[in-house]
Amino acid sequence: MKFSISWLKTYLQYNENIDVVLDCLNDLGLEVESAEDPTNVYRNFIVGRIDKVEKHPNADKLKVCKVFLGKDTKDIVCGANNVETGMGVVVALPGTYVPGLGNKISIGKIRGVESHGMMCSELELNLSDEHDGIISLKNPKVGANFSEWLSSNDPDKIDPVIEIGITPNRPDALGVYGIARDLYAKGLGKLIPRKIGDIYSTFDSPVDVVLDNSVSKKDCPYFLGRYIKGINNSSSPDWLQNRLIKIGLRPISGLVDLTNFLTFDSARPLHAFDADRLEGDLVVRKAKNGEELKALDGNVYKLDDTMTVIADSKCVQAIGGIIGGENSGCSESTKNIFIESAYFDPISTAKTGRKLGLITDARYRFERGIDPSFTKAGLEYYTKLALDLFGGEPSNLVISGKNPHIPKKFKIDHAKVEKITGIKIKIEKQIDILSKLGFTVENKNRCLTVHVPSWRPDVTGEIDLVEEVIRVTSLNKLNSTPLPRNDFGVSVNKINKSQRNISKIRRFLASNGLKETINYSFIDKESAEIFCDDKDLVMLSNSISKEMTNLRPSLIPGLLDVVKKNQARGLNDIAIFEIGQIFYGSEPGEETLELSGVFTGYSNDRNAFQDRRSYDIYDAKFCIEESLKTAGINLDSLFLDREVPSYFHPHKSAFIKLGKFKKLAIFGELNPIISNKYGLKNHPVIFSIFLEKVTENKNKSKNVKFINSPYPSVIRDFAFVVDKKTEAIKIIKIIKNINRELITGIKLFDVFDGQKAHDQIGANKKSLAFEVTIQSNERTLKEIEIEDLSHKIITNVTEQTGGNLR
Amino acid sequence: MSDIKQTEDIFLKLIASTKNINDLEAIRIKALGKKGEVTKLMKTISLMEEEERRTKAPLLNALKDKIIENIEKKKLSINTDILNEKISTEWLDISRPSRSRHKGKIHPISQVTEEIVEIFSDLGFSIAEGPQIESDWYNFDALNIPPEHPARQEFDTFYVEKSKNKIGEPNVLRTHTSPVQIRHMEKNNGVPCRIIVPGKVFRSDYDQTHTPMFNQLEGLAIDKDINMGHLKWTLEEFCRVFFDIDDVVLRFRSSHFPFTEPSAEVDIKCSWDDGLLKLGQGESWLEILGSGMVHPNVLMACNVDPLVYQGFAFGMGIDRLAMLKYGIPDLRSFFDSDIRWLDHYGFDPLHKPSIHNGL
Repeated sequence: MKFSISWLKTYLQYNENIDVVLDCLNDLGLEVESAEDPTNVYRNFIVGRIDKVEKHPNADKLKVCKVFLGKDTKDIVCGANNVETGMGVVVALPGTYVPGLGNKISIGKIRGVESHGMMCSELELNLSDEHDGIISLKNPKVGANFSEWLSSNDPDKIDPVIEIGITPNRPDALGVYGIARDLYAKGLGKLIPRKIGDIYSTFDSPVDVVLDNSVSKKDCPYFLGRYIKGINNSSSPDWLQNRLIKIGLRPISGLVDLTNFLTFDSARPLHAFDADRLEGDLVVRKAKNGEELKALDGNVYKLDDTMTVIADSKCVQAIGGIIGGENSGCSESTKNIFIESAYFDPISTAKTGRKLGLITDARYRFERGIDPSFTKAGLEYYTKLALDLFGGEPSNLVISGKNPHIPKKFKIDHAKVEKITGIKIKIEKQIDILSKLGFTVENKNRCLTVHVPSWRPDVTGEIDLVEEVIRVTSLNKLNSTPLPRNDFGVSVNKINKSQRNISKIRRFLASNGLKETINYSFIDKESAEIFCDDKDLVMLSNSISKEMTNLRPSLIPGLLDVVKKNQARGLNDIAIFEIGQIFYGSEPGEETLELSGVFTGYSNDRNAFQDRRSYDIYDAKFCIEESLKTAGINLDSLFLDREVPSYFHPHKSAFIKLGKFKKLAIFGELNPIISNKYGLKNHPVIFSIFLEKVTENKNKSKNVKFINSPYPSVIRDFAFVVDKKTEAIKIIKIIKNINRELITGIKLFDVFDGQKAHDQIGANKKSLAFEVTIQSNERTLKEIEIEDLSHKIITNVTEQTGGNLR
Repeated sequence: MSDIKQTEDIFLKLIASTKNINDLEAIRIKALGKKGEVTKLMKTISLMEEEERRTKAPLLNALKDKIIENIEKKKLSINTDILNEKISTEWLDISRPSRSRHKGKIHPISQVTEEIVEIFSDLGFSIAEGPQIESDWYNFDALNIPPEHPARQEFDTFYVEKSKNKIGEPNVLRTHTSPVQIRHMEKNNGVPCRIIVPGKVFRSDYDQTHTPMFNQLEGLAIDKDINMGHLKWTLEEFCRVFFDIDDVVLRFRSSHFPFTEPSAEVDIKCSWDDGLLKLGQGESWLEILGSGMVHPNVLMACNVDPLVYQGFAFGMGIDRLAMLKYGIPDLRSFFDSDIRWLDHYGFDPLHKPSIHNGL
């Protein structure tokens, strides 16, 4: 909502400067979005007088002017053709910012002659689009600044303009008068009531209005009209044009300008029909499906039977509360008008506006709630102004329906303000504030009953009255009051175990070289289909792009997108993860927290130590195992399951399960087919941890005793040649099961596989070498015991795997 | 007597004149080996008369000890010489880049969320959570935003299509974390309470300063006597600790949110010097959050009696707080996952926020 200070001053008499006004507006909840005070700009320009005009020695079209500035005279080169001796001009001296040029001017040589400033055109000062010649000032007071000249000769030009944001609860502040009323309640100056006066009518309106049953109850319960004949729709006077120009509206014609004026002045949209273009009487009704209106904005709107329209006997002439039709709009030739002032229901106006995608100043106000009791006064105000400015004879009022306003009153406990805000405000002050805002307050033995004015649909209870009192008093008076501690002693356990585990896992992964990312919860449909694991797809009804149509069923596609984007930037070493919700249904709660990660490229930069290596699936496995440990899960109770979704490489991936059924995590290589589809440079390793399954583990971590055997340990190495597809874990389990007490460690330290191995040790064979630690907590082991164990290791492994000792 | 002294002199001289370890070993054998001179002398002890032994045995033992000691000293000296010789020729290019590997980082939003949690935990707030897909009831109606309320249109809500076999009104992606207020308060022991809710929220808006997903922090404190002065203190304390500034000046501006009454937007005092933002001082104001006293209609929607209970709520953008605190210029970059950006703005995982160590 924009308005100028001069407009405000028609309703509010005050002496404070603009900064005070701005502070008050902000404090009242009428948030200042911008404030332009042209005085600040034009103050920097100086009024001068051309004392002499000489021809430029080197250019025919240029002139060199001697310009007197009050104290001294400057040489200024100018190309305008209207310069003449004795003319009053506006001068920008070097260093002055010229708004129309967008930069500061400096001393310059123009075709060999130095110019010590610039004489400005209206365009250069953003005063108008006029740039044929420079400004010629009447009554130049040489040496004064241009703001001074403007304030005595053309004050509208330095009238400050303020734009405020109006919250949806304040339709009354969508007019200058409502803003003035708020400022008045705040204590700024004196409110000047609107002078409407009486209209003396001489005849009955030839146009009548009927409210159809379909609208009269709710959507348009009240409609007033008046016929004015013999009006002269000339252009509006300067003061009216300036009001509108200042707030960014284009003057069109007197009658149209006047409706715009009422909209912004009193938040009262009206519509003026060219009465000679109407056929018969007007009826307010629901549109018929398929009816159309070519509106004043030049567009044709298709209407349906939910929309309230104003029609004559022939066709629709306006969409109620939103826009008028082009056909019956006022033009320069308009002689007779029918002016409408009605109450349209906020909800149905909003619905119609949304359906048509049409936002107008009228809709904006009707959907927030017009003052129903100002329907008649608004019409009288318009009529009065129209008659004064454009002549004509008014008819009697046409009145259909009745004012839908239902008076509201609430009791307010005067102690409530202090209870809610902590600020004590005297009852007299509370009454004063409410009264100035237009509430009527009855005070019976300090028990207040407050009647709500018709322009405040937002006030629906005691708490709203508390708000009005504190809003006008100022929230800056709040006393900062310590919130009492409600814990005795040390405050503990404010985050639960699951939240704590997730934080630990996050920091564990980051400390192992993975960067945490946060990606959009939306992905494209095709990715959702690939990664949904038979979950229901969850789609948005109103997505904003085709890359963001679905809620993600997995974090993986988002991470792959990150890989792709980074590879495109030449960043190929990527170890990332994300913790976030994934979705498996359209209902609240059909979502779960997961962690996923991706590895691709190398674990470190190219270096001279020759220790650079590629990430592989065992990096992912490590991340999973350590994360599970963090959550208190015993790795010995986990199983691998190679039945994985198809976006994994079918032979290089597995689920990690707790027991036989509970899937805790998955890891492996991305299926190369998918990798190609996404255009990735190589085949990343991906993994996911199903965090809600992991953190629901309720095991309380127990203290485990540290055992440090004082007896010597023995280390023996064993290498077995086994079938290529033998899993190392199988051999590890065989060895461990031989003697769980004495065999305290088994490490796989060498894998010999691939073509070279096949050549040396047989086709489809590989060699696995283990380091086995043997130690007792109770005694030094005898050589014979160690030999016996070694023998058993060899026998059991070879027998159970069909392999050989290498 | 004299042969002991003589033997000692001879060997000490030999040891002293030796230049290398092999010669020294030869001398040791010559003196102390099985057939060495000193060994021979030692063997005579057992043949001696009692009296002679009493005088000579200590001398011979002393001789043996002295020679051993001298050999050891010489050995150390020769080895030191050898090492010194070796060290003097050794050289490493210490300017070479050190061994390194790619570093992991914590996303700024996680870090800032933990910082916030630290502060509010100390004030007695717990973390509450709620779903990101919400029903109209929790996201709007229960928060005093009826279907046709103009505020409802301003949320740019994403709607979720019903999955197959699901019926009823379509759900929304929560547009704010406020529905968790409702879910918390409607529980049996919902009030009194102090909770914060950090989480993702969604609005269909995408431009320079808006992303369709962002992170919000909700706060709610309900009790019998919590008033707006407590709200002010809580937010001042939060800003003081979070931004690490001693003098926080907050400005409460009246505003409107359907779920609070009175409502206030809160600005923090700041300055812009050469485009550099400084919080806590100066002449400008920067809006940082919205807040207010919970609307009685919201309490009633949770079956909480507004005549008994009252309290405050606030909401702020976690992303925005992170941008302000750590000078991150572009909101969209948070969700772009550029590895270089993550390296630059991400946090060392060992830097876990702790209120007692400083955030």
